[in-house]
Amino acid sequence: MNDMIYLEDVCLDFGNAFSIDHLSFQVMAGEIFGFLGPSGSGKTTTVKLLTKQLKKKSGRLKILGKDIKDTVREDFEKIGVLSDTNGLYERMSIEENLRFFASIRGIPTSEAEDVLKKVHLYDKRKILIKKCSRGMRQRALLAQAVLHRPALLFLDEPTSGLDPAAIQEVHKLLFGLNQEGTTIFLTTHNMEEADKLCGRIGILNQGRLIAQGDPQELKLRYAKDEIEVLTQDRKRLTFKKDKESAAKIAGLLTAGNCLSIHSKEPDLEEIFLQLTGREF
Amino acid sequence: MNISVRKLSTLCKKDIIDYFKNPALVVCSLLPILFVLLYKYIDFSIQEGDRNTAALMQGTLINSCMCALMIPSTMIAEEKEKFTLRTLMLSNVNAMEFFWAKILVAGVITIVGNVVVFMISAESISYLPAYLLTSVFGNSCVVMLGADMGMACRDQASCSVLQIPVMLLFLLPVMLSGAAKFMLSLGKITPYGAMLRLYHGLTAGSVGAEKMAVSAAVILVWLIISSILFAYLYRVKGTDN
Repeated sequence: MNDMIYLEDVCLDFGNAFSIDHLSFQVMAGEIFGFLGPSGSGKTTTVKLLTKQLKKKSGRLKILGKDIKDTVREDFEKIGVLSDTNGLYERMSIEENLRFFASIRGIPTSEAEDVLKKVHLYDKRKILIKKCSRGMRQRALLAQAVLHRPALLFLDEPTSGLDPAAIQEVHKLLFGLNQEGTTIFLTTHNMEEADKLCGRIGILNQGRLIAQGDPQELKLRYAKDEIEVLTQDRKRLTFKKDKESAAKIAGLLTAGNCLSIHSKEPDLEEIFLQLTGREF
Repeated sequence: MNISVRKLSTLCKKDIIDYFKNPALVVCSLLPILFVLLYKYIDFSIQEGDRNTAALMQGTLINSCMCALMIPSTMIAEEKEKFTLRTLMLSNVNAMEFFWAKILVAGVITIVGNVVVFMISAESISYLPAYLLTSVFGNSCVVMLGADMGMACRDQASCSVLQIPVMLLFLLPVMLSGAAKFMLSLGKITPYGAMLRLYHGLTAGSVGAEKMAVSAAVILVWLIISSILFAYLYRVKGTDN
């Protein structure tokens, strides 16, 4: 099975406007695919379509190599979902919650301990969810989503609201899961996160996929023809890639007035702005 | 929609634990018992036998309101409000497993409460089978209505806005049936009124077979209404916010 997710010309509308507009892309097994876009662009709606919470209006949608229409309940045992609106039982401890979900999934409750260690919550497992910080809750939710070692993991804004240290921990965990073979579909509007984690990304705007590919490849594709030079007096000078600029840069070099030279590549955020003109 | 017994029993266990950890719901269950104790030991200048029956009837009514109606609606509304329902659905729990767990737990708590009320009221133990039969039958539609309310509401606050009027609508006509003929007629078509008439018919023989059949039909109609409402709400509102 190569295609874990396959969408071809998928549409969904809520009344007058298209929410998902002729969406086509695929995610291969073992990939971390980043699904980027501003709020309201249709990221969560796409996750809902892929997890059968919503029904598409038209197009072809396959998940785990099966047409979504033919999927049965057992297929969804191979899927883990961390949504931005998931919740855990507040009057139960982290450990009780995980044991409960392990029991629901029909897996040994001892699995909960292993996952708690992975998300660095083992020492805090007795704390009630209502007394947990946002970072702890998010990690507990992540633990719940990966408890059954899913083949395909949907993560909807997994690090939103977390502090940098907690984000780092989540990233490590996701890399670890991916190395164990889990395919990850990550929706985020954090460009840095997508750049760091994802092998491929898709940029969604108003329900349409406006660009997709390797982050590095996208940066090169949308790179400006410019070179940036940092001078000894800490000034940043931008030059066009032409003969005239080459002579000027050579002059700076021979005068010993050059600290660094590099081609000016846009980051993902700039690419998005370039494509849509919208702020995140 | 198939139901997994393993998932259903896990959900029931969790709901029972959650019930005991939720002080508001525990108080709901204790209130009818406290009321019957109070009723029993305060001198109302009525004969002991009559007092026992009156305590049982009042206690049963209050228990049916506080447990059968409030518990499933509050529990479902809380799951929606705290987004735990979403987590369950994404963990491959289907809506029927979720609702059946709630209905079963609320049903058992209501029946246990009714049995305690029966014991405290000191009504003749020979009436217990008839009492159990009528309270299980009568409360089945009330528990379903409670689940409907939970499903219709977005959160606990909006649920409580609906709970009190529905509770009073069912309770007042029965409690005030002695005060006005209109209330008596209205009481007969509420699930509580029908349940009590059925119990009287089975125990004291004070209600004829025909009237008992009418009471049973009233409960059946309520059961059908609550089931249709359940199906409608399930389709329109889905299972989540």
